[in-house]
Amino acid sequence: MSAVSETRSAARPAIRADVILLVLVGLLALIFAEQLLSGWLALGDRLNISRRDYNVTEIIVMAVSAFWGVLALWASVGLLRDRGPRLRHYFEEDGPLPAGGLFVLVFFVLAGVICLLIAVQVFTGWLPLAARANISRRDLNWVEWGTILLAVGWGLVCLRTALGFVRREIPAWSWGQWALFLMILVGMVLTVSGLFDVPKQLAGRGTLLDNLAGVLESLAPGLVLALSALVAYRYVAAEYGDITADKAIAGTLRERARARDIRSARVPAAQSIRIRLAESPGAGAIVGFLVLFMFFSVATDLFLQPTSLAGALTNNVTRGIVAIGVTMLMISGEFDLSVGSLLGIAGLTFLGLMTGQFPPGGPQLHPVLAALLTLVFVGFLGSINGFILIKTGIPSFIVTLATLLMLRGLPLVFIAGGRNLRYVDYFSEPPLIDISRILIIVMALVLAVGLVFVARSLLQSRLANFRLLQQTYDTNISDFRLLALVASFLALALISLLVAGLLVILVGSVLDQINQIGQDSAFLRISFFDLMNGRIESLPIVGEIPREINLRIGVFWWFMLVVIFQFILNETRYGNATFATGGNPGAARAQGIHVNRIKVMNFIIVAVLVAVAGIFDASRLQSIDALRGQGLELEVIAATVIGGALLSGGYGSIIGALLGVFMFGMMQTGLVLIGVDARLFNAFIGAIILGAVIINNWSRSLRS
Amino acid sequence: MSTNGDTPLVEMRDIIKRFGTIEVLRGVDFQVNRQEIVGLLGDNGAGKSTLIKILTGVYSLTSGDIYFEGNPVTINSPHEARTLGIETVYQDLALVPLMSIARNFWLGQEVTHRIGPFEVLDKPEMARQTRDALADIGIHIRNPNEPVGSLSGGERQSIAIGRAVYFGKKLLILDEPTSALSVGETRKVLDYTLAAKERGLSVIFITHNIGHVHQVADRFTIISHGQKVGDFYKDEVSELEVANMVMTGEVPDRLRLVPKNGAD
Repeated sequence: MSAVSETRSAARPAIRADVILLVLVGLLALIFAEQLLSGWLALGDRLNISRRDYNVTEIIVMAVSAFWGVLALWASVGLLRDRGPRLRHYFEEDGPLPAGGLFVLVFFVLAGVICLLIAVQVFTGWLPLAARANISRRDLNWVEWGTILLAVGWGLVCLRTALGFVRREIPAWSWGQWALFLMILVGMVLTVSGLFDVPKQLAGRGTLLDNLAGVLESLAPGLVLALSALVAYRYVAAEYGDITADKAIAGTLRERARARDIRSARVPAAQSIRIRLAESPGAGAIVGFLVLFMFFSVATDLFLQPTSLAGALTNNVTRGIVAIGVTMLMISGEFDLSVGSLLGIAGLTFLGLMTGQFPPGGPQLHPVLAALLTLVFVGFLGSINGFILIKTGIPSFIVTLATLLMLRGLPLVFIAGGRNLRYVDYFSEPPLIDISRILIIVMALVLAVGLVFVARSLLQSRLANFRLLQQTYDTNISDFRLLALVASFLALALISLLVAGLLVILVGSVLDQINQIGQDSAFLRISFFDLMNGRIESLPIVGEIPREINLRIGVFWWFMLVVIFQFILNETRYGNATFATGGNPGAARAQGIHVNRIKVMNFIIVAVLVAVAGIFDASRLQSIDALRGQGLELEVIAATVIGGALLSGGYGSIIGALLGVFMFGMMQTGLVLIGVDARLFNAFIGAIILGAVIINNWSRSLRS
Repeated sequence: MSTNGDTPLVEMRDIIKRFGTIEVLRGVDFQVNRQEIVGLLGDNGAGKSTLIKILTGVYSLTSGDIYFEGNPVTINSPHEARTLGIETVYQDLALVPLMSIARNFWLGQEVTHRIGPFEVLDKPEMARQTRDALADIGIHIRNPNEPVGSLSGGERQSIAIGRAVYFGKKLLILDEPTSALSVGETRKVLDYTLAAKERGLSVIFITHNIGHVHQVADRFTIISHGQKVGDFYKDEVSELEVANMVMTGEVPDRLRLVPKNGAD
C-alpha cells in the first residue's frame, strides 16, 4: 500500500468521474429493483399488478439489479479508498483484487450469464424475435438463430474473460478492454432505442412524471449497461498503458514462459488499434454503420425487413457506384464536383443514342453500342476535367465547379421545357438483345476460374494460419489459444462455404445454359434495361422473391465494382501510386511515379463510373429529365467523407465509401420508418457527417 | 571496380547557373569520389542547393559539364537522375506519411506476383524484405505495416536512407537531414550514413550544422557567393576553421597551399 501511495494521484487523475458514474449506476439499478419490488414495474407475463406475486423473471431481474446497485456503490467507495495503480499490482505481483477489479470481474460474469440466459429464452421460444407470429418452439427464424449464436458466443467470451481475471492472465486484461468497448456501444444503442419507446409508454397515460416507472423500464437497462461498461473500461484501460512487456518480464512473474506469452499474445491494445485503423480508414463509418443499424433494428420492427433493406440498397446504386470513383480520386488528392452533371449527361447520351434524340437527328443505335459510346463520351468529358487541372494548376474544386455548371447546360438544352426523354415515347417494345448462351457460359467459367484463383490464395493463408495454431496448440502458451483456434476455424469454414456456394451457383448456371442450348435456344433474349438494372425475380437458394421486394440487379453490379476497385486500390501498383500521389506528391514524384498521369486517370475512372451509374439509373427509370443527378455531387462527397476519405488526399477506402453510402440509405429508409419528418432528413445527414468525421479524425490521431 | 575506383563518381566542372541576370553559380567545380562522404557547406544563398538541384535534374545548367562515373551526362529531370542512381532524401519529401513503412519502401518498384493476367502486390514478401533490408544496415523497425506518420523524424530519415542503400543507388544526397532531430536521433542518422558508405555508396551531406557533418564526412566542399572556397579533407581542418570559412568565405593562410583536388 505505502509503496504505491506516491503514484496514486498521478496514476488516476480522473477518479472522481469514475466514482460519480458508479454512484449513478448504483442508484439507477437500485431504483429499478425498488420499482419492481413495489410492483410498479411488471415484467414477463404477469397479468395482474398485485404486489405480491412476482414471477421468476421479475425475481431474477430484481435480484440482479439490487445486487448490481449495491456492488456499484460499494465499488465507488472502494475506488475512493484505494486509488493506487492496483490492477497492475493484482496482475503482476499477486496483489489482492481491488474494488474496481472486482466490479469488472462481476460485470463479466453477469454479462456472460445474462447472455446465456437470453440464448436459452430465445431457444425455448419464450422470447420471440422479429416477425415470428406463432410461439411454437420449433420454428425459430434466422434472426432468432443469429441471436442465439451471438448470445452464446458472447456469453462464453465474457465468462472466459472473467476466468482470465481470476487466474491473473494478462491477455484477459487486453481482451476485457475490447469486450467492454463493444458493450458500451451496445448499451448506448439500447439506451437510444429505449428513448424511442418512451413516447409509447406515455401514449394517453398522462405526463412523463406520471409514468416514471415506464420511462425507467425503457431506459434503465441500456443506461446501466452502458455506464457500467464505461466505468469498467475506464478502470481497466487506465493502468494498461503503463505496463510494457519488458517490465512484466523484469517483474516478479511466476514463470519465464508467461513472460514470453505476454510478449507474443499481448500486442498492446493501443498499438493494435493504431495499426488496425491505419489499415481501415473507415473507422467512423464502421462504428457509425453498426450503431445506426442496431439502432434502427431495435427502434422499429419495419426496418429489419427484406422490403426495407432491398429498397435501401436499390435506391443507392447510383450513389454507391459514383462514390467508388470519387473515393479513388479523393485519395489521389483531387475531387470532382461535376459528377452530378455528368450523370445527367450519361443518361441523356444513353437514352438519346437509343432513341435517336441526342445528338438530334442521329440514328437509333443498338442499346449495347449506345452504352459503350456513353462510357467513351463521358469518360472523355472526365479526362477534360483532368487535363484542365494539370495544365492550369487551378484547384480541382474550382475546375469541376465550373464544369459542373457548364455541363448541366447540355441536358437543359437537349431536353427542353421540363420535358422528360422517355423510352416508351419512341418504342413499344423493351430494348431486347440476344446474348449468346455460349458467351454466358464462357463468362461464368471465367468467373469461376477467377474465383478459384482468389479463393485458393485466400484459403491457403487461412489454412496455414489454422494449421499453425493447431500444431502449436500443445506448446502454445497463450491463454486464449482455444479461442484463436476456434476463430480461425470459423473463418476458414465460412470462406470455404462462401466459395463453394458461389461455385455451385456458377456451375449450375453453366449447366442450365447448356440445357437451354440443348433445347435449341442458343440465344438468351433479354431486355437490356433488365440486364443493367432489372428487378431480381428469383435467387438461387433463396428462391422466388415476392413482388414487393424491389431488389435490382444493379445492386449486384455495384458490389462487384466495389470488390474490383477495393482490389485495385489495395493490391495493385496503381492503387499504391494513387495513395502516394495524394499523400505526398513530392515523394511520389521522387520515386518515379507520374503524378499527373495518375490524377488524369482517376478523373477518367470517376467519369466512366458515373457513366455506368447513369446507364443503370436510366435503365431503371427508362426516362431522363434535364435535372437528373442534381445534388448528387455533394451527397457522394458526404458519403465518401463519412467513409473515412480525407479531402486532402492520401487516405480512404472503397469499403469505407460503401459503408458511407449504406449509412445514407439506412437514414433515408430508417428515418421514415421511425416517423421522423422527411424534411429533417438532411439535418440528420449533416449531424451524421459531423459525427463520423470527428470519429475518423480521432481515430487517425490515435495512430501518431 | 578497381579501375573505376580512380574516376570520381560525380564530377561537375565549371558549373555556371544564371537566373535571368543573376549569376547564382559562378564556375563551380565539384566532385564526389566513390565511397566518400562529402559535406557540402555554405551559408544561406551561397548556391549549394542550386548546385544540388542541377545535379538532381530539377534545374538545368547554363553552362558546364557533368560526368557520372567518368561519362558525360545531361540530367534533365529528377527521373533521369534517379535512373543514374542518384537518390535525394529531402526532409519532408522522402516518404508518404499516411502509407505504411513497407509500402513506402517499395513505392514505385513494388514486388508483385501474377495471378492470371493480374499483377498483385505481394504484401507479405514486401513486409518481410523491408524488415530484413532495414535490419541489414542496423535499422530495427517495430512493424513494417505501421504508417510512416507514426514514426519520428529520425526514423523517417533512416528509412529513406535504408531504401536508397537497398535499391543499390550510387549517390545519396541528404538535404539537411539532421536539422529537426534530437541528439539521439541525429546520432542514428549519422550512423546510417556511415553504414550507407560501408555499402559502397557515396554521400553528399548538405547541412548548416558543421558539428554533425564533421563527425561523418571525409571531405568538405565549401561554397560562398556562388564560388567554391575550397575542398578540405577532414584531418586537415578543425571544426572551427570550417565554421570560419563558411561564414567569411576566406581560406585561412595555413591552408592556402593545399591543392584543391588533392590526390591521395
